[in-house]
Amino acid sequence: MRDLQKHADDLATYLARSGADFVARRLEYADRRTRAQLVLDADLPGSGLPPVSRAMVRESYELQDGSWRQVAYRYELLDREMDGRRAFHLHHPEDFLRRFLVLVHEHCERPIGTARCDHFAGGPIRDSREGIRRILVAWTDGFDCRALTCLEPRRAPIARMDAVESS
Amino acid sequence: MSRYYTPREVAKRLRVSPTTVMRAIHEDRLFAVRVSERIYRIPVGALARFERGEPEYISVPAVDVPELSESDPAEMEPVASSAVALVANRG
Repeated sequence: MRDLQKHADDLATYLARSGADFVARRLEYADRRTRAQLVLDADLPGSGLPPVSRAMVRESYELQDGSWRQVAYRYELLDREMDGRRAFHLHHPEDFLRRFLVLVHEHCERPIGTARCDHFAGGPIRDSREGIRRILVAWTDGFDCRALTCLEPRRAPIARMDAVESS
Repeated sequence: MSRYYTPREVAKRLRVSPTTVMRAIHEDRLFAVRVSERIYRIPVGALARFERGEPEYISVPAVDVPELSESDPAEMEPVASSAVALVANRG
């Protein structure tokens, strides 16, 4: 993608339209603006109580040939009211790929802190709004960790997504 | 109280037809979470924001940092302890 700032603004607007209230939003640049990370943290208002659920978005990008290429993502829901955590991750390659032979994975904890597995198998999310949609579905309709497949270190099939190309 | 409304509940609240609500969703004027092919949820905050007519556009400030963080966001900025305590006290 060419315009990372516009993507960040579009995604923040999309998340805000869901009714979420930001507690953090910024586009971080590092290494002479050749690497970037989008940070969006927002509370999801529920049933009139103070917000107790948080949506968290992290997207990492590297500048390659004049375009921003997405190299990692984290879409997370931390739901204190329902006592659960649901997350969809694509990590940066080096360490994680060596350990699990896979980059894309998911997290699921219910109650929080009692995950039966450190990493669950998952499919790649190629669209940022889809990542946010997934955590909002988990927030509105709940989730069941029992249906997920656990990834065992060094035994998982290769399900690597080399890069997430966004328009 | 639920965290979301169905399109039918929104229609009743706004005194319009469910068709009008679905049109607003499909035209991207009303935010809805598509749970499945035919099921939509409208978060309570989304309807409140729709009724207030905001936001038009959210700007994300750009900042330069020495190094990008790789830490787990769930660990970085936990939900406010006051909110957690409130939930715990509910029972």
